[in-house]
Amino acid sequence: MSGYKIFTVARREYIETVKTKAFLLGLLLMPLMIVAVIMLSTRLSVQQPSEQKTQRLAIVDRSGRVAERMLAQVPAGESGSLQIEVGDPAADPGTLLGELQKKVHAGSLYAVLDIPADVLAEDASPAVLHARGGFFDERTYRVRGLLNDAVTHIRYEDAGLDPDEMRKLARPVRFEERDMRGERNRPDKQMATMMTPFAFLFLLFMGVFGVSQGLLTSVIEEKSSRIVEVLLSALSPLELMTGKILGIAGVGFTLVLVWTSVAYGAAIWKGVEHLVQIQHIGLFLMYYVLGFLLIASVLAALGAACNTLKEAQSLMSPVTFVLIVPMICWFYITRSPNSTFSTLLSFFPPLTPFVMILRLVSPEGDGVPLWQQIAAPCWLTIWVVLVVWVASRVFRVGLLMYGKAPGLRELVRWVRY
Amino acid sequence: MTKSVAVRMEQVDKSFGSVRAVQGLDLTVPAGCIYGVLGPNGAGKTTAIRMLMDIVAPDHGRIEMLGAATASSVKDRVGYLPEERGLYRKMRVADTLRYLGQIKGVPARVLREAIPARLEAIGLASWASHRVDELSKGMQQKIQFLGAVISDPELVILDEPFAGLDPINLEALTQQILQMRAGGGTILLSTHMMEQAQRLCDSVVLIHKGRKVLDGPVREILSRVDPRIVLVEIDGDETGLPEFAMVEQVERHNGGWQCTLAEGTDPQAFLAALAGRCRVLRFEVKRPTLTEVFLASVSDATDPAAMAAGQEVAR
Repeated sequence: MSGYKIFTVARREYIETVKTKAFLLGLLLMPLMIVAVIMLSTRLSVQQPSEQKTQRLAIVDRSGRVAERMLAQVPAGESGSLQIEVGDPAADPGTLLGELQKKVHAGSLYAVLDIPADVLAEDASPAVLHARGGFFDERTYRVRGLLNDAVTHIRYEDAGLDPDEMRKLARPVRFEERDMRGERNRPDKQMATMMTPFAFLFLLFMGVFGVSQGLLTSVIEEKSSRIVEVLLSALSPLELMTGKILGIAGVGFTLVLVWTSVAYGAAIWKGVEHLVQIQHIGLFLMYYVLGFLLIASVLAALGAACNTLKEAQSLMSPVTFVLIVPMICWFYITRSPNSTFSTLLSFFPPLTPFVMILRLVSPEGDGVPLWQQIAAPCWLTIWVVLVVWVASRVFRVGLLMYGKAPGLRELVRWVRY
Repeated sequence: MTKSVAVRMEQVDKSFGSVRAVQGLDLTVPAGCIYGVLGPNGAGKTTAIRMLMDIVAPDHGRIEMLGAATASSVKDRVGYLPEERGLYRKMRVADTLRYLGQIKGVPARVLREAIPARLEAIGLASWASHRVDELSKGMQQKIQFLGAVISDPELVILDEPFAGLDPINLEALTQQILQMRAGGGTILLSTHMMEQAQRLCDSVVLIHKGRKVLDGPVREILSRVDPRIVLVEIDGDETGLPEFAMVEQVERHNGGWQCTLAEGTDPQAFLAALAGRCRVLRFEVKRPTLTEVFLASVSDATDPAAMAAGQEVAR
């Protein structure tokens, strides 16, 4: 193998790729996305309830006691952004509920709370909130809180107890959460702690899978433009494949460098840079190189085996399907990095880089056993060597094969050829 | 192997499934000549060339190139223009040539001077900074040829180099090939263009259905064929011509007669006999062309017995 020739191929691949509009778009779009996501999440997290639009809640109180108490808890009929209206007690509850539900539909009411007559009983029917909002609507929790407070208050009174005294006795314990540096855990920091592993995963995924698809396109272009035979008269298939992989790896490295710099800048801006440790960067680079070699050589072989991008895309579907597994499971892996599932997944070679980076950067990343931290990259390296060898065999034969895309049996024959 | 042999193939076989593309091919290409590989479509020419270039491995047989056992070890000394050829459409002309030169191991500083000079020589100097897809098809073919020879190789292998060229570009390419031979280079080319092959090649090999049918210097191959057609014009009774025992067939031709002589007849003996009976105004022995030899050999070669006989002739 000639280093000069490999370098020449790699340089052409790099220069011709970075000159494309797709590269420039990728280079700029990702940092813009990072900044946009941070600004949006900051804006949402600092927004106070008082700044939100006031919501009107109507109550149909079949018990005749609870709505009054709820209003008493909110003297002006308002609780933050919630404005409470009690339906006419003399009206038929069923008819009233129907009318108010229409208002909810029309948008003039946020919701109607239907309080059952037996709400104070031990085996009471449920109170029902008829609302337009979807699940996880924080207003639901506020309505529920008000209703519980009102019902508890009335129960204390009925039992002859002083509700104010009882509330004092049942006051919650003050509780604080601090990280290892002694800093208080705030909701936005909690979010940053969970999102940091995802950010690493996303950058790795884009750097490995997103970029190596350029290799697939480039191989197919060389094959369909029929320049490949000229290249093979000067280079061995292995020199060509190595040069192309290195060139595209350089492209990926450039992108990842820019993206991580912007992401780190954003972390400093948000004051969460301590979440990114220097060893994380080192691990990221190691898994980037191994992951890239593994995926890129598979895609180079696929490109050589196919004649058109369409053929390649159909063969790529299983690869894509496997590689998105960590994207689907990232939350579980980040929260349970040492579960059996996470551990097993991190030894499945195509997923090792992605799952290991999630586990190691997760808040409990220090708990990943040392043997796994050493065994995973070693196991992956063995696979990289094996896959690169197989891919180079397929690449060598596939480059000069035109016609129908090969099946699995044909590919196996090429490897043994 | 002597230094004067550029390429040697010995009993080379190659099959693709049940199709025997090349069968027992022997070929010796001396250094410093233009050697033509001729044959109809599907004869096995491209497969033979691909085996020479080590792009396809032979099933059996031995191949030597420039004194080495495989083409891979002398790749940088061999220029190759494949039949299926293309260029990077978005790349600039000069960058393309630089790339093709560098992957042949030519240092960048050498190419900095060589590329403008070579482009100048083929009249494309002003196109150096243009993208390949801005060039006409003929221009692209010239660039492809230049890419194959930019490294000044000792041996150049051209698979159908004249395909699709207009007469002007065809002549320009012919001159380039002749110049390379004058410079001591060896050129092995495959073509369908018999006139071009006859004009350019010192030797040819004719392949049909994967087998060698004819092989040798062009002049020798043409001289092996009996010159049985003569063109005559006589002053006297022309109706007596068919009565000559030496004449097999007589046809009118450009105001004279085209006589096909009986097999084994010496044209000189016919001239003597003719001169004894009438006044001969014109007597021309028509030389066979490579096209005629090609067609005759290919039609003979469809019959295995005739093919074996043809190979005897070749030897």
